[in-house]
Amino acid sequence: MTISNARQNSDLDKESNLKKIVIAVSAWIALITAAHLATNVDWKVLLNERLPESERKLNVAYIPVT
Amino acid sequence: MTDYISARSLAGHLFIPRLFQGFPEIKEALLSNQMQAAFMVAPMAIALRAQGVPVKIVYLGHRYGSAVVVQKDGPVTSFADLKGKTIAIPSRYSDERLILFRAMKVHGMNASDFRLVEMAPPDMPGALHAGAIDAFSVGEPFPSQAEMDGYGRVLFHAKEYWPDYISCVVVVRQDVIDSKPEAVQVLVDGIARSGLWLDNPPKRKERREHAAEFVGRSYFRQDQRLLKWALTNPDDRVLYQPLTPLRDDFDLITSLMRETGVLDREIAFEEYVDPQFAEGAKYQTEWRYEPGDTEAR
Repeated sequence: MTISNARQNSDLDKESNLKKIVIAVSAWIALITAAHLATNVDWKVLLNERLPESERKLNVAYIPVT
Repeated sequence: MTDYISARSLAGHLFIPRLFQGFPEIKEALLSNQMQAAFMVAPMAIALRAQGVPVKIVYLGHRYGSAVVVQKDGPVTSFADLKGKTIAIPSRYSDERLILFRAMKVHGMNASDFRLVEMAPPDMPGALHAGAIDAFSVGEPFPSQAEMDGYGRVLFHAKEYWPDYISCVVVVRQDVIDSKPEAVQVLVDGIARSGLWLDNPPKRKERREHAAEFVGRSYFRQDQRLLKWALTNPDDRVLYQPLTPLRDDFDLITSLMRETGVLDREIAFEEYVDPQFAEGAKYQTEWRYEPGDTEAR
């Protein structure tokens, strides 16, 4: 193996490692975003707010006390 | 409860329930039209209307369900022992404050005999346990929490000094009453049906235990055992009918509000109550739903 071939292989390894890191980080961000959207966003409320005024359901406030 | 059962019916969700932690926040959300309806303490609703806020009481949330709680092994064993003590209340505009004034009169005491502090209801049991307050006056399940956890004792239930006691009422913005009366009626009908379902004598215990489970998990985010305690120890600790707003009940509240300085003018029943929806719900029947059913009607 020549010196130039060895450099080329090392560059390829670096590129492949970088790609793996980008994929892993993207997957992690997607997972956290999905979990956030599922647990912290009240879709019922959001969808209701997008309906025309006449079709919207009433938002009723309550507190955990009788 | 109404939301849970109605979601299983053909009608589907009747409204969108939104959890808050205190009455002042509910008031703000109602004023800004983030909320179109709300459960709130009756004096606060009346005071809002007296201040010109366009809202009306359309129904009651429940009857009874409030108590004054003291430390279990503390020095307070009678109402007279509260002299000089610090008592927490949820708001100066609450029936839980008014009940103290009613009891005070019976025992020949006056307002300067104790110190009232406003506190969010969920903070009260902890404050009592830590000795930061000597007593609290609030709705369930917080009296039950202090009892169940072993450091609190109910000094008296509100109904002992105030028969037919009411606390939470259903308040709706006037613009919603005018533009969507059918939606308000559906909401009130749903609450009426839930009340009948919860109070049905032969099935009351079983249904209340079931309600404690799903309300604790999905709505109140509280220990289900606590709600079970509050709803069944005894099973008339909180009642869910009759829920029609009655003039005599509210005349008593407004006169107490005037006496205790939280209402600065006379206000007619018709000015703050819209009885049409309670009238419309009069012939409703309980939900046809039993624990374990997947469908309700």
